[in-house]
Amino acid sequence: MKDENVKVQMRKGIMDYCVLAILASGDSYAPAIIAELKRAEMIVVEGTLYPILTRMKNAGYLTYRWEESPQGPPRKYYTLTDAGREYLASLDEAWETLVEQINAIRHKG
Amino acid sequence: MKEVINVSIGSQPFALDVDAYRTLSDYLAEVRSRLAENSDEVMADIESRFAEIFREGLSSSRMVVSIAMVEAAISRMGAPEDFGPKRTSATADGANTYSRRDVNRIRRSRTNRSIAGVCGGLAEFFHIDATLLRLVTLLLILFGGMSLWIYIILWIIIPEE
Repeated sequence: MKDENVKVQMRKGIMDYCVLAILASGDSYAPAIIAELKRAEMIVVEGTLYPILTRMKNAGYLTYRWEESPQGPPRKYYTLTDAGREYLASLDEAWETLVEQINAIRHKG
Repeated sequence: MKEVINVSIGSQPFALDVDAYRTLSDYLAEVRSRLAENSDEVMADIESRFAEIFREGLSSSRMVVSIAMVEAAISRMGAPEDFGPKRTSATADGANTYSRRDVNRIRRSRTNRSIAGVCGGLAEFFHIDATLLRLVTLLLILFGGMSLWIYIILWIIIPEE
C-alpha cells in the first residue's frame, strides 16, 4: 500500500468521528458540515459526505428534520441522537487511548 | 444554438444544455454504481446539492445550465472514484451462481451419464445409486410397461448442468 493510500484510509476511518464531533456542537446541514470539514482539511470533495450521513442516520446515530431555507428548497438539518452521543463519547475515548499509545511508542526510543 | 433539456434536479426545475445533461446523468449513474445498493436517499441528497450549486451559479432561474457549470459542480462533488470502488457485477454474478448451486436442483448430469444423464442427475438429486436407478428404469421400460417416452420427456425438460 502506498503512503497516500494509508493516509486516505486513516482519514476515512476518522470521518465518522469528525462528523459526529461537528454535530455535537450544534445541528447542521450538509453544506455547512462540508465547509467545516474543508476548513479542517479533512475532505476536498463534497460528495463523499452524503453516504456517511445516510449511513450514520440508518445506524441510528443521527436524525434529520426539514427546515426552510431563506433561499431555495428546504434543507435537511442533522441532529445527534442519544445513541450518537454515546457513540461519540466512545470514539473520544478510543481516540485518546490511540494518541496515548502512539505517543508511548514514539517517545520510547 | 443548442438544444436544451428540462429536468427536475432535487425536485427543482432546471434547463440544461444537451451536453451538460449527458455529462451530469453519466456522472450520477457512475456514482450510483459505486454506492451500496438501495442508495436512493444518498443519490437524492447528492442531486439536491447539485441543485443548490446550480442555483448559486445562475442569476435567474430562466438561465440554462452549461456544461462548464456541470463540470465545475462535479469537481466540487468529487470524481466517481472518490465514492469508492464499483459494485462489481462479478460479485453479484458470483453470489448468484453460488446460491444456484446451493439450491439443490435437478440437472442432467454431465459426468454421470450413459445416455443423456437423466438417471445420473436424478440419482444425484435423490442421493441414490445411479446404476441401481438405471437398472430399475431399464427393467420398468422393458417389462413394467413404462413408456420410453417418459425418459425422452425427462431428457427434454430437465436442463443440463
